Amino acid sequence: MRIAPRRPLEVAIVALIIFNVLELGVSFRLRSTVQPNRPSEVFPKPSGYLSNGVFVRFPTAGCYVLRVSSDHCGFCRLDEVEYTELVQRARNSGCETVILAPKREQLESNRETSEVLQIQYIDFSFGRALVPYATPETIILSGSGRLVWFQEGAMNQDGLTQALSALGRTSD
Amino acid sequence: MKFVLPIAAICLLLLSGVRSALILSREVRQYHAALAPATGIPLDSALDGLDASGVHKTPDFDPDEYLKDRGTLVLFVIHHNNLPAEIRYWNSTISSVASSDSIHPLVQYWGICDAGSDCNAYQSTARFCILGYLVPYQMHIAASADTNREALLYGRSGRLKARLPIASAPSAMSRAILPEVRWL
Repeated sequence: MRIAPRRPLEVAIVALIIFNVLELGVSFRLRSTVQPNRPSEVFPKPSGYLSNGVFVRFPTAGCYVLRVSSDHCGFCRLDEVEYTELVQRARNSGCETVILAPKREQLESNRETSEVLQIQYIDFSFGRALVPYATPETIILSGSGRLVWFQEGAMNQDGLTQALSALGRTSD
Repeated sequence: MKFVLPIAAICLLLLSGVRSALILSREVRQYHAALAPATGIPLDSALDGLDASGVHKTPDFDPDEYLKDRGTLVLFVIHHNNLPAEIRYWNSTISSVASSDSIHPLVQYWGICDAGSDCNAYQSTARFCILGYLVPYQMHIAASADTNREALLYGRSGRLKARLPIASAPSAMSRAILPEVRWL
């Protein structure tokens, strides 16, 4: 389209259209960038007190899968199938899996198995890295604690695919 | 007549642009707030942890589930690499609050150690309860307050009542605490 300078109305319309499109672009960019509850980029090795009062410091592993969950959260039940599959694949890859409830008595201790431990109390450095304001949240860390992938909210099949792909990127 | 449609289009585009600009300016503010470390601290709490002897610790409550004596709780972070000085600072602050002329209900003090159980040995010298471990929710809140160099003051129902910048001197810190803990 050729814009003749003698037609200022057309120029104004085109300029305003460009302005509106730019605004939409910036808005889209901001919305895709901002993640207020994004965890820290680096975590300490998971440790803390289990619900039975025993202190655990997880051994060095290929990676860690953290799950922030609560019995009172309906969305946490939505992706149990996907989460179970992720845990199995993570264990097969030599990863450690940990469940944390944001507050006490939000998870029944029978969720804890020999393979998935439930940490109840954490120290300052772990607490600073983790943002447990929303449940469920699934976090995959490399063996050195580098944040590889996380998702706030229930996983669907796409989320599971991303998580499984992230398991393959956990080597430091 | 031939100018009516272009002018109408310009007016509509202008309106749309202004509206979008207003929305965008709010989003930009939210973006900067999200980038700034630890600006948002939830008002509710989960005051629950392990004290220096490894025992489960919650604040002292009255039977009606308000904090004991309708009081308040001040939560702050203590740092293991500067522990003796910080314990002196908070002991002095607590003494200053306690000896003030102001009549106020019980104030409980929790010092959250930034290195797990490394601060436990100092419990005997501290006039406040040292905790090395908290539930994740409250520990992240404590870490956020530490990033902002703030102490958090929880009201009688356990909700966040005030965020108090850590003052350079205990006397200034106690002056900041006192107005918040007086009887209503």
